[in-house]
Amino acid sequence: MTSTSSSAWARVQDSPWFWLLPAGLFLLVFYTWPLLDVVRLSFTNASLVAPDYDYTFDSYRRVLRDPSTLRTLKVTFLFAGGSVILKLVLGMALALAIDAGVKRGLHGIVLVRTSVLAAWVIPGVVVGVLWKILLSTSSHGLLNYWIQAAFGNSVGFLTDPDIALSTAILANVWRGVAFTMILLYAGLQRIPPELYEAARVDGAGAIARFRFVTLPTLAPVIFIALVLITIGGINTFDLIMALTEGGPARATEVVGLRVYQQVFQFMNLGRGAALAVLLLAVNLLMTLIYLRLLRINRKTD
Amino acid sequence: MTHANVEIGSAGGRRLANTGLYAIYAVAVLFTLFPILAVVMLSMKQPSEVFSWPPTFLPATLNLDTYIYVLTETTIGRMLWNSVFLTACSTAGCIAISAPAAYAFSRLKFRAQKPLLLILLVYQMISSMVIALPLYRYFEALGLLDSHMGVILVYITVEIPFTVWLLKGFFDAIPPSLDEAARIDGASRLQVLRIVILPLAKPGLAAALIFNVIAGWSQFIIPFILIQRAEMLPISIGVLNFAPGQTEGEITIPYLAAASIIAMLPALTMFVLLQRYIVQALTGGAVKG
Amino acid sequence: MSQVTIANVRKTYGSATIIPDVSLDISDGEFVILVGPSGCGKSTLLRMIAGLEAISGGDIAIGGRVVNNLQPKERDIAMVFQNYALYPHMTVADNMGFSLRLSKVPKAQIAEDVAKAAKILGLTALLDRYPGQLSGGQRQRVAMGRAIVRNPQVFLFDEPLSNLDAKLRVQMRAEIKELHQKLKTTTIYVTHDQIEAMTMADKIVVMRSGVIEQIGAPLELYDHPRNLFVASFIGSPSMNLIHGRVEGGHFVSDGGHRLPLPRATAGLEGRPLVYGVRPEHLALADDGFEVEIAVVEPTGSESHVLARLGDNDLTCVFRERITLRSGDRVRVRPEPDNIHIFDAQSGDRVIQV
Ligand SMILES: Nc1ncnc2c1ncn2[C@@H]1O[C@H](COP(=O)(O)OP(=O)(O)OP(=O)(O)O)[C@@H](O)[C@H]1O
Ligand SMILES: [Mg+2]
Repeated sequence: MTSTSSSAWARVQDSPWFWLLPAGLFLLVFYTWPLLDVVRLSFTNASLVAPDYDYTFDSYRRVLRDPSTLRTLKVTFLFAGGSVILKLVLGMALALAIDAGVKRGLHGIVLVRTSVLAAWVIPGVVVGVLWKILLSTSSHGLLNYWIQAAFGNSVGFLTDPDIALSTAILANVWRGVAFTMILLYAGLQRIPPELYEAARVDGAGAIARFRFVTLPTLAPVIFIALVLITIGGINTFDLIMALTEGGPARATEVVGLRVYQQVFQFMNLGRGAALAVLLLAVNLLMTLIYLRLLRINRKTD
Repeated sequence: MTHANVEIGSAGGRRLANTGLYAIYAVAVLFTLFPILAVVMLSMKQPSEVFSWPPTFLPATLNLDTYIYVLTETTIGRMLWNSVFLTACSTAGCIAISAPAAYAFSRLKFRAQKPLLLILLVYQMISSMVIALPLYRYFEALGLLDSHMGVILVYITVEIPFTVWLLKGFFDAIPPSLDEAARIDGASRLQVLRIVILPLAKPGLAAALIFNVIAGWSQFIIPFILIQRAEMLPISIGVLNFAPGQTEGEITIPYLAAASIIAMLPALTMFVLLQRYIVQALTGGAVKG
Repeated sequence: MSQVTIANVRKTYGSATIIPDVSLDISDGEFVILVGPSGCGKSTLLRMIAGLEAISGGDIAIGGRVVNNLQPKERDIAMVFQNYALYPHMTVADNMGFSLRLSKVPKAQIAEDVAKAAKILGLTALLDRYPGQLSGGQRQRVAMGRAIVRNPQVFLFDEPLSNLDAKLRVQMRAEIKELHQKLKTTTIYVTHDQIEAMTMADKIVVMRSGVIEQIGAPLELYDHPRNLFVASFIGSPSMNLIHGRVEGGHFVSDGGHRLPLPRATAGLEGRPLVYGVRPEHLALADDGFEVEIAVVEPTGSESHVLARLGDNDLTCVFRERITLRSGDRVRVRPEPDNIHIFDAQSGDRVIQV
């Protein structure tokens, strides 16, 4: 015999809300609410220290007029864009190399995969510190010593404003190329071998097979990786904080860094919030593109 | 093992191609491991060696003095502990909260299903910096700044979207008829989750565990903004405290190096031990949604 | 008493109606088989009885108790799934004892009940294995064992044999039937295999597009199909159907061929009809009508012959071995007692032979 209370309890479990409640609460309180609030704050002149504020468009006006906003956006997109290109090219090369190695039964694949992925596990701050040590122009800077020995003068990886952004991209690529590699490698596994066999029967060489079989079939995965890496690049904060702190001469100041400075160094919450909304808008735009790509993929699957 | 796609050709051509592949592997491994190894070597140098010119890759003597110093004379132990605590609590909390949600998305049908999954995906893409600003104000007002409790709640929140998607992917792979059989056998939905789905989704739980640990260990923006007292900081931020200031100059570089190595070691160890599950989750399509 | 009553049950998914209105009475101890083509709603009906799908209207009662809003576990039923749905992380014994464990039966009692069920099904030696270490037939048996351990009021089967090879299927068919005779538990069994239905059921329910077309004992459906759908669905090879009309005491096909009729044909003249005769009810006879042989398929015990009557294909099954070849012309005659006439428009049977 079942009591009505146990049956009622079972009915409660039939409702999705029973299962979603904890996660929903967390996301509502600690995500959705702050998200709305940051939009609200962006329309104020709030400061971190003074409790009172007024509603105004001033923050946006200031942010949009400020030439350094544009520079920051440019730096952010260059950083994200450079990372994307390098990660995709190198990730693809690695994925193909590992795929070919597995098919040929070569040794040491797991070692390669593990060591490449290891960089991805290291906290961004530590990645920044590692490269900062490595590329230093001080007496312990091993790489610069070798460069100097070979070419006669050292390179201001972290001190030259023209080079620092490239350095940041390099460190970011070092950290994230494995992720791209794994995504693409997974995509490669899903290409039916018959496609390659058919192409080979049709007389396609290795390059033609890559061009006409691999690339087109992998295109959806490539696009998805592209968007994911771009978003990751745009949101990067920790690595740059440790590596350059946005310097030299703000050459590596990405949006996240600027938001932080506006709020916590200049105490200007309103303007920081306006910048954060800008970052949010870029995030949403990228997500929209991502969803579009996912939908196209579903259709072609 | 069959090697279906091995190029047919002369043995010489094949050997050349294999050599090329091994060369690529070597470059990849070198590129990845060199920075880590260089810093490991640096961390074993005596402070005085840092000034010697020319710099060398290997330290004059392999000694662990810097490590002993960093571990005993600085607050790094405290920071490590903070990181372990924050990571462990948020990982456990996040999985405990995400698993039921993933169950609902995988097994129940309701109208808000698709929109909610989409919102999760959107949240996953948003920089923590955006929500950290208001959270700072709330936490300040509530006196939660510098509290691990508050930070854990936020860690959990930002990891929920990804974890739900990940687990949903693994739950979806379990045939629903197993649930149904269990329900007919007399299990409630909660029992189905606990006795049937979770044991069968162990690889998924392992993947969720690893991803959460890695993310938690690397968290930066949130603790950077919400924690100020040095003794409450996780190691991911604490490392920065070892960076040489204007006054000390180069002398502390080996300590910074050692601290970096110590900071990455737990995550790295965990990864090497459990990497099978990471690769499985990444290649299984769970990440691509 | 564990009769099952289904009264005016409806099932809709959003705007799609899968089952408009089904009523069905199953008495205690009966072995009822739901058959019908793929997608006709058999599984849906079964799952509504199990409580795995909500019903959109009507009532389902098990043992006189309306179960509409009860959880599956409260309905006192057991179910065997097409893919067996064995818990891969539990041993055979644990799989079979799972329901008892959930209802907090003492361990010793569980072990005893499991052992008993295992003995009935010949699983005793396999109790410590995991499902992954079993063959398809063994898994199927474990799934049944899991059902009988609970001693439920009703067994539900959803295509339990369709993942087995042909030979094993025949064997398991017999085993299930034997089991039913031993346990006498009310059983509802879904299949799209009409041979399974014919050989195992006390009562067959033929469904199409969510509607019950006919309910009856296997031979009743075979002898007296109520309409064209049932006529062509039950029986293998299926019934020959020839369109035409009645003229002057004969059936004249659309192609102008004359076929013999049984006596009672009054009032049928004029309207379009369908003439049905099963392949096994055609015999070689000099006074029959002439057909042209297209293909001969000897099966050993009988000969299947595909013949042509004008534009119509005609399948014949002869007991005797025949030496006919493609292109030969022979005369065949339907057994007068086994001729079926249907209305071409409604599909309903129009005369009772
Ligand atoms: N969740 C659902 N939403 C919408 N339509 C559904 C759903 N589940 C089943 N259907 C539809 O209901 C109809 C009946 O499905 P059901 O599974 O009962 O068929 P079946 O008779 O068991 O077929 P089969 O022999 O192939 O198992 C099908 O047309 C199917 O497409
Ligand atoms: Mg079915």
